[in-house]
Amino acid sequence: MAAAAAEATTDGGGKMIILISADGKRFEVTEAVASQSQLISNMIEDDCTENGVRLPNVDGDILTMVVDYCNMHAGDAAAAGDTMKASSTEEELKKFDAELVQALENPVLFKLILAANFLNIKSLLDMTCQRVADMMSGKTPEQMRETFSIENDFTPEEEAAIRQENAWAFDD
Amino acid sequence: MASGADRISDLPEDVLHHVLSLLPSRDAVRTCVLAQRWRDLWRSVPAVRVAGARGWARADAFVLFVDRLLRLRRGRAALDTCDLDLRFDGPFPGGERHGNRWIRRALRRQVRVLRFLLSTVPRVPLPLPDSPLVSDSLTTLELKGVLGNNQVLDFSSCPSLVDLKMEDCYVGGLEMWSPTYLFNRDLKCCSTFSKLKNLVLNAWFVAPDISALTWFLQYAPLLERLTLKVSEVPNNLVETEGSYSQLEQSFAASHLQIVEIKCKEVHGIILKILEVLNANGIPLEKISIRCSGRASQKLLLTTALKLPITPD
Repeated sequence: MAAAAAEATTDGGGKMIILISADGKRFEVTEAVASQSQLISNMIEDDCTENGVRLPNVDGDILTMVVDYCNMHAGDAAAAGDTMKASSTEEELKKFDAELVQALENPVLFKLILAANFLNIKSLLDMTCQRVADMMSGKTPEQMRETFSIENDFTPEEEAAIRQENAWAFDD
Repeated sequence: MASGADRISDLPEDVLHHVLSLLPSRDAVRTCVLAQRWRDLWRSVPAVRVAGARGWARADAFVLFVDRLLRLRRGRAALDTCDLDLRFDGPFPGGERHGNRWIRRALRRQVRVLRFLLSTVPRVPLPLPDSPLVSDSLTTLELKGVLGNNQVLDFSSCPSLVDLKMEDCYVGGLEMWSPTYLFNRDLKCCSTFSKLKNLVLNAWFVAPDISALTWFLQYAPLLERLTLKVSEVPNNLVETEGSYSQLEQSFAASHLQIVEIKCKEVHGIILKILEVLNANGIPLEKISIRCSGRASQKLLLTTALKLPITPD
């Protein structure tokens, strides 16, 4: 962080780096924005972002969301360092986050989770995992299977045996 | 909604653990029948979350559930958070045996955040064993509805503890409290809560000389925020004259920024607390009182101590 601040030249944005998605889309972001990814933050520290950062397992459409999210949340990290006023109010952020995860279809939600996990962006991972947990909470196993199209690969006998083994969790 | 492909089961194991750690444990365990992939995931989820016996036909089924949940976890699996919110409409079946075992199990699994909240009807606190809690990893501890002697207050074997909240706890219960002996022994045998920054004491049964409070303050040098919720004070305590003014050592509360006292009525004990705090170098400006009692009492307190009182 100190090194990045020293190199910062203009209006608090700092150096720019290029993120390249699996399908070759390029995103130009400030180091401050990209550093919310622990993975990229480590790469910046190790000086290996010169030629752009290739993200072979993140598609362009997912990376668009990730970059939007990081741009929106860049204020958090900066405010913590007192270098810049938070760019968005807390309320705006909450609204943005809620709309982001609510709108997602399951397959996209899971891709976003994988991206957050790979890039190691804790707040985004927490938020997307929370969305999945909310969709599971209070549901029976049958309802969970339906919600997430989970294929039951147990034989009926196996499933009965597992229920029996864990009867203490089903006894209500 | 149904997209056809089962993508959730393709998520890496640590991500699925993360998701399951956000669920009530009952929902998390029940994922064991979803599919092969899910069968044993619950055993390594880094959080245990149990809230109330609601949804359970019988209290003993609920107790069995919590017991198995903690016992059948994978031995090496890290446990970050153990949140046991145990609310019973009646008594806690087998409470003493189970409750203490659950706390021990959580500590043995290197839990970082432990909440053990118990409420029963009628209100019967759980007696804790007569030995201090020992944990290198515990940072946050919240206790409700427990009873213990002075050992419960000895957190010298919890070097990482930063956040402590006690509600409805009977510490050094009235019948076993002998302030002078206890206080001296504590002073000799206990080291400090070296990292504690935030302390909330709720429904605190304060002994006449409020040595429990001063004891905390003396041994928590980095404490920044202290909240006292004095909702009930037994009559015999209010009337007893304490030795609060003869404290030999003042406490080193140099980091204390905020003291908040919440009470229904302004008892003598509140005035004593204020005097002790003030006599030990905590200016009244740092103390705020929220009082839900009668206006005349607020007036009394305001004029007696020239304190700012926050209206409800």
